[in-house]
Amino acid sequence: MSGSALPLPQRLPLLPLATGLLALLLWELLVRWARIPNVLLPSPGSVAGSLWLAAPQLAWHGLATGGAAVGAFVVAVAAGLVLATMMMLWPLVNRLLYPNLLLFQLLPKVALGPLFVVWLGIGLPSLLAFAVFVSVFPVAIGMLTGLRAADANQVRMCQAAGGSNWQVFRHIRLPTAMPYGFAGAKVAATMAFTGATVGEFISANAGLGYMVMQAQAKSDTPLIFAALAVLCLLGAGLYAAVGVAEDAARRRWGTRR
Amino acid sequence: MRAALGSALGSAATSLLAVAAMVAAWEGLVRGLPVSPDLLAPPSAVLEALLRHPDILLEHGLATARETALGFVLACLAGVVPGALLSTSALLRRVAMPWVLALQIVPKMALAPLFVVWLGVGAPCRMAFAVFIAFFPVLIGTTAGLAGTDSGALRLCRVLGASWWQTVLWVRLPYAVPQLLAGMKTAATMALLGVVIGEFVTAQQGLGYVVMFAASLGETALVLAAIVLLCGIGLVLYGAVLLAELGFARWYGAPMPAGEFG
Repeated sequence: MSGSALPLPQRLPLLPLATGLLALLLWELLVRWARIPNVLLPSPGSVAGSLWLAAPQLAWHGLATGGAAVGAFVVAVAAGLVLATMMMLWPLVNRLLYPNLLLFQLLPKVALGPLFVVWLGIGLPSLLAFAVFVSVFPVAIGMLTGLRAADANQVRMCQAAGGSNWQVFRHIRLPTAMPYGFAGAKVAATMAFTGATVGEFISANAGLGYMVMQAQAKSDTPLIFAALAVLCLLGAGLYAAVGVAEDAARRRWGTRR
Repeated sequence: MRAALGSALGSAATSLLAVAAMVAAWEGLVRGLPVSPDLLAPPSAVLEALLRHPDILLEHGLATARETALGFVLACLAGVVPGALLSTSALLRRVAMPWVLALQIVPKMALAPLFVVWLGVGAPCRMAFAVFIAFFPVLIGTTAGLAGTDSGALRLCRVLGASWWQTVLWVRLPYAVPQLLAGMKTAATMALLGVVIGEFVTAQQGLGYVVMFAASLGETALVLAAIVLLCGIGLVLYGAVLLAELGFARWYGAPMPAGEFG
């Protein structure tokens, strides 16, 4: 796979960190020197001020969005794993579901957000359901691809040695599928936050997305930046947690690749 | 080639059948169960909504289609040019790639309101947001494709005395195009998504606006009709990239170097 030609950040990405700090500095200087109004582009300093002033609200709304997203992520991963396993074990389920899964993959799923509000009202249930709906597909498709990627020779070998279907699944298919499943879970982590936030854009009474829309209505751009910074941090946190879980799982079960 | 096309048609037929079965089951379920049509409109009601509001749907659909197509083209440009630049220098990649990747980890669809602050509620805002959402897969495809050329082929070129341009044109580019096209397929879906979310946030025009408006009125059939049109736009764009892929494969006249499709 030539995708591995891309350099992944090693232990401590000093160079990019330095560039990032430099960019922040330039941004601050640019805003001060060109006297760009705060409404248009707030300086990093004023965003930091906003973060500090609005810390209690940010924490509360962040907890609402973070809780919804993490909950949706857990449900989506569980549902995706179950779906993929069922599709692997029963060909009929696969034939029924797979084309529909692919169709949903092409469909602009986020556009269905308002329907969830019609069905479940404004509030946590519709938000959760929408975020699960948006994030379940990458897990299901990734996991299914992984389960199918098992080496056919190994499977035949195992069967010839009298391995049961379950043993083939547990000892050959599952370890092969793990990296794929985690890749899907990483996409799902981002999508869960996307779903939760877009859901809050559409209609909500709490959460960072709601806060962003409120701040936008008041033209409080520094607060928009602050809320989005918190959101990005939370999203990156869940992503990093999946990465840590993947490392742990690899060390524990020692998969190839 | 022909056999591949045949099997592709066969699997397309199976897919169509499965989707048709789902639509039939949906219609049957809604009719059989005491579900209010306001909650989940049956496919027949969606079709009726499509036929009942052709003017609204056409007007907003054209707006969405126009912005999506333009956004997609701009996103491809915004991905290919920096992607090609990144592929030329390892230092540049080391400096910039972590940031580009970090941008993918954050839920960047949530950044839509910022574009409203900067560009107002008009089409430029939605198109800029679509470009912002969709450029990344193109960039990654370009960089990975150009940087991931088979080193044996490159060495062969050097031995044979090929100029830099010849190497780029005849070796690197053909290696990069399949991955670039794979990135463009993702970008097609993402550009549409960006425009729709932009329409949610700006609430000015477009099918996303129709979806929001109809949902607030409880007109589920109209919501679904707008979504059917959205799918249509997405599929046309995706199909265009697919056609480009087929055309390239025919021009290249051999199995593609990279096996990563779809």
